Amino acid sequence: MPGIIVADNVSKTYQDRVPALFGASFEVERGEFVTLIGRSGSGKSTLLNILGCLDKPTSGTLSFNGKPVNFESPHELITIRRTVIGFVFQQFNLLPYLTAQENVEYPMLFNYHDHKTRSRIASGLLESVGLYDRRDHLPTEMSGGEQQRVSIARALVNDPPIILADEPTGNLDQKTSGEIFSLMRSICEEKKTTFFVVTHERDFGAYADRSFQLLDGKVVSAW
Amino acid sequence: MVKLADYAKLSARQVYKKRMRVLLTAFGIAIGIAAVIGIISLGEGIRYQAIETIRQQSDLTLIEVTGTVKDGTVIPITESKAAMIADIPHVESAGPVYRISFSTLRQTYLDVTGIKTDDFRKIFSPRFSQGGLSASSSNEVILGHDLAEKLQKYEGIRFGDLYTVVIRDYDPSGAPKDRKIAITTSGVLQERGDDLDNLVIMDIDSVRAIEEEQVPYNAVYVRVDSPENVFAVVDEINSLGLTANGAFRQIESINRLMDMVILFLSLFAAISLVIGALMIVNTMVMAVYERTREIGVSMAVGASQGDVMTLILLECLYIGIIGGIIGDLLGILFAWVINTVGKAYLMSQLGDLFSGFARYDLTLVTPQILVLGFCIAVFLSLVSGIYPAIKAARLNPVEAIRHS
Repeated sequence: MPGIIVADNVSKTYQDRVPALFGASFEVERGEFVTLIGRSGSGKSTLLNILGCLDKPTSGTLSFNGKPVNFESPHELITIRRTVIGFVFQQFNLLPYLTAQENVEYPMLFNYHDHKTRSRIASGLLESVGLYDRRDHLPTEMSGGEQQRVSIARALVNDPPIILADEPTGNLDQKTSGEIFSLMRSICEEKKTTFFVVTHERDFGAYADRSFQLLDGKVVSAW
Repeated sequence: MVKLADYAKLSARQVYKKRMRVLLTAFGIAIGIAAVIGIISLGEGIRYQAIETIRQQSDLTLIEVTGTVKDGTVIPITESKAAMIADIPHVESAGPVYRISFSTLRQTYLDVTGIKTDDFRKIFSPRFSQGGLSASSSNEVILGHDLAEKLQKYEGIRFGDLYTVVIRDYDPSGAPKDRKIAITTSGVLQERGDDLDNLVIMDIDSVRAIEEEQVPYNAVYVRVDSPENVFAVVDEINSLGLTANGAFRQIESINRLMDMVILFLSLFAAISLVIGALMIVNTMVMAVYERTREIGVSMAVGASQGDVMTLILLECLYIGIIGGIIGDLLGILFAWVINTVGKAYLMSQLGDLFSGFARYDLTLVTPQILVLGFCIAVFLSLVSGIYPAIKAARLNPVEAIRHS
């Protein structure tokens, strides 16, 4: 059985720029916690955007659950974003005018869930990240770590098999970063959700099952 | 539907968050709507007054049908055409008319309208200052008010007199051959203020007895049951190939004139609508730019291009609804100002001649105008939203998320 994510020779070149990705190939197993490290500008974000179906590879194929992604079909890309992928951003990217609860519910708005279902799922997730009592607070009333936890709850809301995180602790202090990593790790173990986390902090390698490194646009297994 | 309601709630929050900006933008479109409403209601008010004046001063439901000259040939009013006219819906009564002329011994020219006495009574509901209807197949006539006065003044012919009139015929060689007959006045009409004041009315059978030649009718007088149905009847008459005349013609020309005036002035008001629409485009383009990152994140968590467009267009819809309501209110206010301040000024400038206007409002704000204004506001707002919505939907999510 193929891995949940299979990247085969994925390349991305931008016009007038050096190739960002140059034949990246790797496989991630179901329920694995993988980190991707690399210097800034090494193409980590580019790879993550392609995995998140936000960006098209110039060549190569990407498969989820053995099914290759058709990057030419906007409908398919949206369906994948709605059902397969959950996103966690470095900047948290919560909507400033929505409360924690509403931010968690937000992706379900595009996924045809009624109000009751949305409310129930979001409350449960906020509870599981320990922020149930802050559900009516706006992002500006929360600390960075709290915002990131809301953001993780949001990523989980459509119950996706894969979470992609782009330097989720890049804006947090050491202690909070540890808390976020241990939260993600526990979700990974409880829900068997696959995590693909871009980070430049090797310190958190301990949370990962495996770690990839991007070197000259290619993925090498760090360990 | 549920989804759209959720989107509507979300957009409503965006609108509420930027309420001052939305209100200012909505005011832009509202001023345009108010200008349109003000101009249309002023035009409609003037139209209403002009038509009311005609209605009061003239006999609107009376139509005179005549034959039409078309491409050099005359479409005459035959017996069957006259029957068809009588059968038109909403025609209360139709009286075919046969016209001849007399002159008095002193050469006063008399236009004689031959019509069945019964038709005359039903169509004209005549009121007499002296006497009454003529008997049919007699030499009795009814005189119009002015004509009776003239005959009395210049020829000494009084009500009740038997007097001689001359009918000019032509013999086969074309030489005039006069015939003299004696007639008497059975009744004199009260003053009406129309053609009838100068006519001689005679029973059609009496006229036929005088004029032996059988020719088509010269006209048909038609009485319509109510002013609302006049134009429908006129259309039917026209479709028979005949011509209709009457006071409605004045209304027709006033309508044509006012349509042009309102259209022309509305074009000027429309300029302010264009400016209002551009304000919405500007506001929404700015809103999309400010929210670039938010839109990128929405796309990353599963919003399609259609979802993004819907959200932006819903915001425009709100601006349109708010603008439409404010515009309607401003329009009513504008119309009220014209009625109070504007009318007082107009009265003082125009003087007694237009004192009739004093009783009426100068503007006429109808529910239709308000609905129209509201719909224009909503429509323009949605159209203005198309470009910003497409711009938002076309954002590249990767770049949008990085946008600071």
